[in-house]
Amino acid sequence: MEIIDMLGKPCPIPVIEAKKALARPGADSILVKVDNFVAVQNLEKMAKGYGYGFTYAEKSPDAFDVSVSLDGKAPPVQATAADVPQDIQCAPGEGLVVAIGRNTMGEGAEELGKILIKGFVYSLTELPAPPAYVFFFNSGAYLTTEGANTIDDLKKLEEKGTKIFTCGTCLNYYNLQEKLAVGAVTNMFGITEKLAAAANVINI
Amino acid sequence: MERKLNALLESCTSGGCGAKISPGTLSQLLTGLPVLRDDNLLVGYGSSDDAAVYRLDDRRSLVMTVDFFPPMVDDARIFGKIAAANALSDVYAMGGRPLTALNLVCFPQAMDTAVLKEILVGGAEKVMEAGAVLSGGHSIYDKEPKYGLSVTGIVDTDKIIRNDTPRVSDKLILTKPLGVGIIMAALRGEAASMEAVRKATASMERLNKYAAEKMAGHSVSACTDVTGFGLLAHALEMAGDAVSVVVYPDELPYFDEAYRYAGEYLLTAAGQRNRNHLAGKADVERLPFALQELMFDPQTSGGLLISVAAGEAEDLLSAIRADDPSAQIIGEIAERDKDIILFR
Repeated sequence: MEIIDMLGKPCPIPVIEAKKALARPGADSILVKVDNFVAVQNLEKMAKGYGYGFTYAEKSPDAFDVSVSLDGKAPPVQATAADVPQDIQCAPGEGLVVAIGRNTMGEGAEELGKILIKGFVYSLTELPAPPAYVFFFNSGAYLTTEGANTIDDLKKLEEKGTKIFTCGTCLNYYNLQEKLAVGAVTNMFGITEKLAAAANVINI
Repeated sequence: MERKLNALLESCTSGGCGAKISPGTLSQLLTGLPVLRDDNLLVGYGSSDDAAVYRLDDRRSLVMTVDFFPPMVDDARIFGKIAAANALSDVYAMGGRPLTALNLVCFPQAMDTAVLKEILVGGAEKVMEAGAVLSGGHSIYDKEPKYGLSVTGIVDTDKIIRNDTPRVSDKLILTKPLGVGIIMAALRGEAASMEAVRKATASMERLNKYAAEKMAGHSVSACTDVTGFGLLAHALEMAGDAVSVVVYPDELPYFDEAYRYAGEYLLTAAGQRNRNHLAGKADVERLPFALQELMFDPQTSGGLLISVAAGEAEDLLSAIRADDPSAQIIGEIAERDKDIILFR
């Protein structure tokens, strides 16, 4: 049984982490440690809402052990994959997901790296089956924003049905939030969910 | 310059009005304090109203309030605006007009003071929009940042609008959508959409000034602003000992994303504390779970809850909607029933 230490974590973090743990393959029951009774009650609402088993023990006034068990029920849906359209699900066994976490390709001269990444994005448009998703994060955000020489090819990919997303935290960090030129914004949940569900991942 | 630092949000264990001490705990603490009687104190903490009111002369009274809390958003400027809109709101809820505002600042020694600058700029912008004058403040070092204001306003004594004097058969108008607490909770869990966060922050930084100004000339019997205790606890305060509040669940304005996140149990601690406070006073069980949570959701800088004569409700609603299009008639005041809050 997985033990999840949520001492000092404010709501709704204990519920989110509990749901993630219950959704992991093979998970059957979990023990969540929290430091206040309100967190116990919020876990109880989640557990009862899904029809899971729920018990708790008060170890001290600021230490509670909460047990949640699936009891044969389906694991919880993962927390909201915000901004990622719900109608397009990338089921395992189909679809390619490309994750681009930098604005160059390979190690070596930066100038060459930039030429290569542009070539790579162009090549994606030429694939017989275009990727289901392309995610941009960290300095990869520079490839989807104004001034990038990759925009036209990314728009071509979009026309072919590829969903293009850039990490919102990264746009904010590089002060690019007003400059997104192609695709939409997502967060780490959106990225992680699609990577986890992908049949093939290319990681640049 | 826009300044965003994750450090702002991560430095706090709970943000916004969700950090409030629960209403039950608070009223226990306040009973038994030594009190000097003063006939000019027209509204004190004896009545859990939004602000204190002190009579100056035959005609006018001062309205005084203070509000501050830890950040609920990462953008320092927006946090400043929300904190100020929230502090100013109590004056509007009393029917008053803010005159002066004093800054209250707690800030970590190790944090970039440029962040504090942005918070103060945001606050000052809202004070200016309110037509009040920023007149000083007090700042201390603290482990977690907090910001707010003490606001003083003025009101014609015969136009004070209390929060617990609603008339039977009045209609209730709520001027902002519910759910900002849930959306901010989802943001903490990195599960909120940017669109939801944008809508919620726009709602929180909006002044209640515009809705409050529309109350003049209408037969308003009671008003409060819906904040950390959530809609139902504020409705309970409004009911007082005299009447019951009927809520129309189908008419409640809320953010769609908040409804969805509530269904995924992205809930605050304060929301559960509010639920506990209402236990036995409102039978919410037959309503959809997500709707229940929206009615318990702590609202940072929430809307006004206005009790207005039934015959004038539609007229006031359409006036308010000119500036606050989400406003809805969400209930009515009824003779006291065995349940203080009913749903119909």
